Amino acid sequence: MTQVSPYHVRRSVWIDASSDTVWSHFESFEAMRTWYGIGHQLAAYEARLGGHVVTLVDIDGTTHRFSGDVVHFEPGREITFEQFWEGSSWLGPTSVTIRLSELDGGTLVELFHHGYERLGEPVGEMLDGFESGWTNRHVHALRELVHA
Amino acid sequence: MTAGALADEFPTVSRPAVSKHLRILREAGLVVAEQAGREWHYTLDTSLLADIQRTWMSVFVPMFDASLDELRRHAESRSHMSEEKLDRGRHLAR
Repeated sequence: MTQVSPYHVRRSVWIDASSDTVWSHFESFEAMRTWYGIGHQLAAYEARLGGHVVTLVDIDGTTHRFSGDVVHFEPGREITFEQFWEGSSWLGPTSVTIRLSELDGGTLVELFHHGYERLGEPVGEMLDGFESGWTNRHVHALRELVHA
Repeated sequence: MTAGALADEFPTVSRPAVSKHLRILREAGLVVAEQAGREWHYTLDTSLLADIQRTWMSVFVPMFDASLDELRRHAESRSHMSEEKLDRGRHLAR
C-alpha cells in the first residue's frame, strides 16, 4: 500500500458495484478515459507498473501538462501514479493514489492527491507569477540539501 | 528540536554544515527558529506547505470530484445491467 503523506487531498465516493466492476474502469486507456478525464483530459495512460500517465489541465485558459509513471499497481486494490507539472520549477512530482475497498456490499473509492512537500515552491510563484521571497539560490541550495 | 539535537541525528555532517542547512531552510521559510534561553529551537513551518496545498486543491478538487462521480455512474450502470441480465435469466428459467 502506498504511503500517503500528511499533506494530501482526499476525495471519496461509494459505488454500488463490486470492486471487480469498478477496477475494470482502470484496466485500459479507453476505460480510464471514460471517467478520469472529466474536467481535465487524460492524454495517456498505461495500466501497468511503470506505465506512463499524462493529463492536460486547463487553468485560466492555459493548458498545462502533468506527467509521470505508475509507481504502484495492485489490480482491484490500488494504483498510484506520479504527476509532474511539465515546464514548471517544481522540485518533484505530486502523486495520485486511488484505493478501492469493499464496504457495505459495494466499493469505497478513495482518491488521494499527495506529495505536496516535494514541490519546494511557494504558492505565489506557481500560479500568479510574482516573487514570494524565494530566489534561485535558495531553490538550488534546497535541492542540494534534498539530494545530499 | 534544538540545533544540537538535530546535529546528533546526522553524525556524519559537521555542526557548521548543519547550522548552514538550518539557515537555508529558515530563509526558505520552511523552518521557524525560536530562541529559548541560550538555545535555538527549530520547528517545521507547515504554513508554506499548507499554502501550496490550498492552491492546488482549488484546481484539482473539482476535477477529482467530477471524475469520481463519473466513475460511479459508469460502474453502477454496468453493475445494474448485469444484474438485470441475471434477473431476466432467472425469469426465463422458471
